Amino acid sequence: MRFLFLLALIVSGYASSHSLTPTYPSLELSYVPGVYKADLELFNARKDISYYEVGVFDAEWNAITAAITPKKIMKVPHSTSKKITVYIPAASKDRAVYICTKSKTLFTPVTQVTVILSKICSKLK
Amino acid sequence: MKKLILATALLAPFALAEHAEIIGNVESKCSITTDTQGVYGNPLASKLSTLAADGGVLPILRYDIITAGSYKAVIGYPNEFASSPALNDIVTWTGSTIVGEVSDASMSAFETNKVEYNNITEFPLSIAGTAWFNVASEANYGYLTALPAGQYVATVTAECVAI
Repeated sequence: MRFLFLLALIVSGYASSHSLTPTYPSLELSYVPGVYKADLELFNARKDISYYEVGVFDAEWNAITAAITPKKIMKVPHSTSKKITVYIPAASKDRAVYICTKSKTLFTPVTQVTVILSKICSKLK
Repeated sequence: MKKLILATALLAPFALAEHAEIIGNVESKCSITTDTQGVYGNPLASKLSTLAADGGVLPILRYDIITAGSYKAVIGYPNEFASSPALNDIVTWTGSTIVGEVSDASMSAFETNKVEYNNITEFPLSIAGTAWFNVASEANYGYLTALPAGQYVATVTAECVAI
């Protein structure tokens, strides 16, 4: 029963949401000497959102310079996933704590609404 | 005919496979879903509110938590307009975030253990399952000053931060 519930959760999560995996990515040496990398996957099931921004932060939420592929702000069409690689210089490796994805909103002509900005942060091991 | 028998013999081992495996992984994950996009009601010329009593619609967020204790939800009600006509007076913002529906009764602990500061409410997602959060938002313009006609958009921030 618990398994069924978990399965339902996973399926429902893929129905209309924003998610980022893994929760605890690890930094590994990349093919560039002195640069570490972490691999993540973003899934966009939000119909109202097509763009996401990726950022790296320290424990105090200060931004850390990092190179991101495919791009820092990327298009992720509805119901698709995008593999993200974050490259962090060795000098910043120990400061980096969070890798976050944040939805970007394009305003459409509507009146008196609230829009939801979703942000999910994974924590580096 | 000989060739046909030979081909059948070659393919036979594949046909004898008894079972096929289906492999799936359940991994720690937090998903944020926009369950209901909020709408501001305009009960007074100077006021916008998402409360149903004021003609608004509450924004509702759904969090799916696969692994207990891995994340915290950080939800903020608006404290400025993302888009509005030109405003010459002060806007006073108020709001609140509460736990709505839950898939597990013990998730009432989210409400008990929440931490509030400024326009932010943090909930420790200590129990796996699904929880809905209702966000109320109210904007009052000046001292009963009429809001200019136009489009008003405000942003609710919904974060899921690994801990």
